[in-house]
Amino acid sequence: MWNIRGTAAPKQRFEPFAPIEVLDDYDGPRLFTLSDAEGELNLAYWSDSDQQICRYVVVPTTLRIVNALKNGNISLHGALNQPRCWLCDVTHQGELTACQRVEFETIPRDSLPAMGTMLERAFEPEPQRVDMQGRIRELDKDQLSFDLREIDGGQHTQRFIFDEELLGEVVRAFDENVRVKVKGRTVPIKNLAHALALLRLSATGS
Amino acid sequence: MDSFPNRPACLRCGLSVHRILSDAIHTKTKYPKLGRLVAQGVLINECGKTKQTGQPSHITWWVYPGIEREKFFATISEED
Repeated sequence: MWNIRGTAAPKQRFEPFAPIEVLDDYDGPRLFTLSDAEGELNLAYWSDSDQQICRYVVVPTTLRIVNALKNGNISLHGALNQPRCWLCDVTHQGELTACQRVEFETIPRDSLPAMGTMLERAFEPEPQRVDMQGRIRELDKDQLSFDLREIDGGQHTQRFIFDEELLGEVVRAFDENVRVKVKGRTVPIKNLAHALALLRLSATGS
Repeated sequence: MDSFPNRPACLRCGLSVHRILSDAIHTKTKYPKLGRLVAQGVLINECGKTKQTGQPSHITWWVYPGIEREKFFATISEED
């Protein structure tokens, strides 16, 4: 199970860790609302699990946000990205064993919904294939994203996100300033695409 | 396995599957830690009982004892 730096918080804040409304169920509740010790509404997202625990990302929410999720007016990532955030570890017997306050931005990206993903597939536009040639700029190794610039065909820039297994190839292409072909698909966020494959087109930066 | 022992025992005994491939891929996108691959297969009567529960494409599968679940599935990549 992954670990990030956080501040231990009293687990009583979220006990009992029981859904009020289940918004998504797959082999059990994956996304649901729950009440905290002050009676405030929170949104809990199943992030990961192992043999011992399930880990949930818990953030304060409102009925307006919950309705926006249900109606396709906000993405899962957007609903979870709140100023306050906790990680709650719950055993498979339902016991909340640990709770820590963390910064949402520090949660590994592969432990959160992909950016732009909506609660229902029907809310999402069909992804389009992306196939572009250019040079990698503005590489962000933490957020796993880069700009593609000097694109063939006139488009000035395209922002890409990518998965961790592509990081080595992306870093090498960036460091060596080579032209690359990027294959991927659109995500439902303006000017953002998901890079799935990278092909080096030139051995030098010229 | 989930963290909610108070959920209806009947549902806790079943496995979630999707009828539609794109819904399975969408679930994987919502919850990346569910796994990287999607498996596709055809369930025949001998596999167990199924019923639509929750979303229209969501099926709960109650597997008969002794059934090797993986025998009915083959992994596919998202791009297939």
